[in-house]
Amino acid sequence: MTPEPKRLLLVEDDRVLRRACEASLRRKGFHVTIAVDGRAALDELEAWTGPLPDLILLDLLMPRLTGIEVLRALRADPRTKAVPVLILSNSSREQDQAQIDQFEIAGYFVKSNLSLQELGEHVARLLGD
Amino acid sequence: MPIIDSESILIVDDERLVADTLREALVLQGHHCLIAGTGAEALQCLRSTNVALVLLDLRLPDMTGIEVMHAALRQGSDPDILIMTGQASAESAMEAVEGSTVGYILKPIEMSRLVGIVRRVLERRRLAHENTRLQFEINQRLKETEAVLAISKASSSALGTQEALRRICRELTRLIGADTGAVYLHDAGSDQLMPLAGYKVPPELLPALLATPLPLKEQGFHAAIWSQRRPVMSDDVAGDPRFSHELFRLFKHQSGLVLPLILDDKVAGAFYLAWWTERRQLSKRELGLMESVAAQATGLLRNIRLLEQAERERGRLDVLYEISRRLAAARDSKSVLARLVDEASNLLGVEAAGIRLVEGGDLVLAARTVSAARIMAKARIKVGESLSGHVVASGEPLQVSNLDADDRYDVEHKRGAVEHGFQAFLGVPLRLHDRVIGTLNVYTKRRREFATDEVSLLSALADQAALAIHKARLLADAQAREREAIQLYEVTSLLASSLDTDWILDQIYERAVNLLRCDAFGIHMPDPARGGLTLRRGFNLPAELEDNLVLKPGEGIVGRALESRKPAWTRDHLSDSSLTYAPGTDDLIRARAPRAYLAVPILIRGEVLGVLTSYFFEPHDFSENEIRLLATLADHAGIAMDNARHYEHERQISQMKSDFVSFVTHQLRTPLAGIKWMLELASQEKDLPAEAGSYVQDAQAAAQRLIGLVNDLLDVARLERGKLSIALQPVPLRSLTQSVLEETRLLVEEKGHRLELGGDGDGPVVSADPQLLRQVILNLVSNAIKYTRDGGKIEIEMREADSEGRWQIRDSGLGVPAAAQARLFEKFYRADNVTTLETEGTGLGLYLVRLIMEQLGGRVWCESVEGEGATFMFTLPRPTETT
Repeated sequence: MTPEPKRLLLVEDDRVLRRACEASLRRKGFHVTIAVDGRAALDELEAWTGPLPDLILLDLLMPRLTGIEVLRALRADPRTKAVPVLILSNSSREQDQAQIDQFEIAGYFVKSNLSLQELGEHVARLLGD
Repeated sequence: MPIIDSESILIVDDERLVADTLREALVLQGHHCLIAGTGAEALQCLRSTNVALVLLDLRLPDMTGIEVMHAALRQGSDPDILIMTGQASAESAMEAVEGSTVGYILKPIEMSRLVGIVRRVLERRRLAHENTRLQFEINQRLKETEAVLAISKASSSALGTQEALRRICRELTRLIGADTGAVYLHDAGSDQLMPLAGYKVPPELLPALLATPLPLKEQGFHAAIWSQRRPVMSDDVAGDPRFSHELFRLFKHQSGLVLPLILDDKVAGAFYLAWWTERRQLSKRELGLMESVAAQATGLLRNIRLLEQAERERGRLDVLYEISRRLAAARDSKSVLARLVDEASNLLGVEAAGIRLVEGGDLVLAARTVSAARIMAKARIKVGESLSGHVVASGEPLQVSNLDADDRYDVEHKRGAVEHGFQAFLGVPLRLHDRVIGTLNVYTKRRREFATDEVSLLSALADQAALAIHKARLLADAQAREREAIQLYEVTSLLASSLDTDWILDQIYERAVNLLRCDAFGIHMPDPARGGLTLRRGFNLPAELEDNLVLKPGEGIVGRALESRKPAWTRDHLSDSSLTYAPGTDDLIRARAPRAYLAVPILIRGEVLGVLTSYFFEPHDFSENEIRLLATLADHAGIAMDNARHYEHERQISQMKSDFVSFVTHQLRTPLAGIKWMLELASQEKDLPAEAGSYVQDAQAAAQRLIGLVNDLLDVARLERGKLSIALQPVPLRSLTQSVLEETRLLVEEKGHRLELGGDGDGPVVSADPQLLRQVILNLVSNAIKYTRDGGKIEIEMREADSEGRWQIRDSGLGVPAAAQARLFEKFYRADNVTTLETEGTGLGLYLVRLIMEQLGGRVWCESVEGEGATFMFTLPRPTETT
């Protein structure tokens, strides 16, 4: 029997990156939900039906609500506080370090230094495949 | 005292023939003879004439010879008596001889016998008289000798002048048999005889006597005393025109003797001896005696004066020594000067003394005796004013022996002294290094000429005072310098501690008043909106100035400092005609600004950042030190303000850099990631034509290169700003190297290199940040691969050396030209020869390697011979126990 596909929530404001990411992860068999910015991500989770996503891929620099603010909201909500989050940033880690250190996260990657292949492998590893 | 020569022989006989015969015979012998016929006649003759010998007949008409003899004795006559008698009355003659006669001779008288008797009697009498006279003389001499002895004793004893002279006066009075005596000393200042002591002066007259000086010049006896130096004697003082002074009327007496004391050809004093009622005349001998006693007294006086002078000298030396000893110990000049004026007045025997010191064009009171409060009343006078001013202006001692009569010097200023009874003045200059710094003055209520040695004594005291002042000034100066240095250090340290201009200005103006000891302080800063300098900070300054004062270059002192870029000052702007202002400003300054001010520009590289101004409310002479101090403050203010400016500039640039890094990070990386991912997706497309696939592959490589470049730039930026967080931990070099080689395996294979990793085991462990060290190793391995021709050989070795881990990679590549080796690790530097093989390098790789190694506390370098490959090495510290 084919296992239930893992559910991912991809939060990314850049259309091209969002598209590439989504395509690559879908090809690998993940169920990908899209949010175009932080606010949209929280709205999506608010309206979420069924089991919560297995992993959230979260950009940091976004309009309306930044990744850090989303992370803070997720961790403050008992419903979402245990959902693992993988940070996909385009800043340098040092710039973000101070802010993300206060949260438990599943990983941190700089998008331009990461291939889609590597991303897929990391996600699979995180989700126990 | 009977004088033999004038004595006569009296012949008393009632027989005229007998008498004549006797006279004839005696006259022949050279005697003078008188004849009396009766007893009464004889007694009468004895009363009125000096009779040495009476030839007395026993039988006279009116009385017997015996009776005459007794009567003569009774009436005090004292002749020798020779009784002439006949045989018949021999008994009576015997009787007479038992009286006080010299003998008897029988009548008829044998002449030769009579003459013999007369000669013997007269001879005996002469001898007796002579004897008496000698006796008298001897007594007299004895008395004199006693007196002179007493005088000598008085002279040689250790008595003071007054007591010694009083005793001499006593002895003189006794010696000459005067009733009373007094002694006077001559006072050169007033040319008067000043009473010193009296002997046997009636108590009711003594006060008047001692209070009344005798003006020598007005006395009639002056000429005699002055020019001939002879005693003056009068036995009728009341009627004698030479004794004209009222004292002689007050002091009624019959006879008087003025006996001068002559010392060094000058009248040094005099004795006055008086007889109440006796009309006394002095024999030559007595006068001579008096003079010789006076000469003795003069000798005494000389000795005493020498002694007193020696005493005085010793006293002066003691005082000078004491003063200089105190000076050596004294830290403030005030107490020393106070003591000095007291000593000056004691030593010179004057009532008042004081010191004034030069301060600018003024003479300021520095010390005075209590008694000088009225005569040196003003705290500040002008140089040139008053006697003090003359002393300072001329630099010479000045004395005025009669202030009242003097009209050569400042009449206005000496009036105070005259009103308070001061008569004489002596002032000497206080000199320091050939400069007159003040004056030491003494005042006395007596008219008085100060002697040369007194002037030099006062000058010696003045020298001491000058030294004291000098020392105190040096000390005060040193203390002030020290205090200033401390305060300056505090201020400048404070200024250097901040990069905030406003805070710096606050510190300057809050502390400047204390540092500069000025009354007020201002900081003028350029205010382009108001077209000049305005007061940015003001301490103790009127609000009108702070609000309304705008100064243009050249305007007033502040404008002058701004324009000339040098300190400028005025002691009093109200009287300084060189200052010009705009019309409104003129009024504002005149009405509101403090009188004296000093302005110093804050200069940095020729640019005036502002002007510091210290103010005094009263006219003030700015010293070099004050100017230097404010200039130093301005220098430090300038540096601090400049630092603040630079800091602000740096901060802005830093912010811009930071902004740029964020921009690059996000704005470049996002599209780059997009390109990279899309190309990755494209490359995975099935049915992709081979040609297109190779295009996509090239695009991927180009994108990867661009991403690498951006990463390198970001790393460099972060490393240069020291913003990189470094997590040091023990890193095994071998496993780290192996992981890098995994990553580069494909590249090595592509170029057909043979790569060897020497040694076995884990290799050295070093202290490093694994991420950064990985970047270093990756860079060095990549370079070796890139800059070695295909099929080359690359060897990596590592070992432990002392406390370090050493890593090296040797290639068989191009090598590094010697000239390039030193610059190889510089930013954007690329050796000339590398472009022949590889054009993609950015010149950032080895620079990054160096930056990282510096951050990690390690060292990286290169050894190479061009054409024979290169060896790159780095060392890193091994972890300590704690890491």
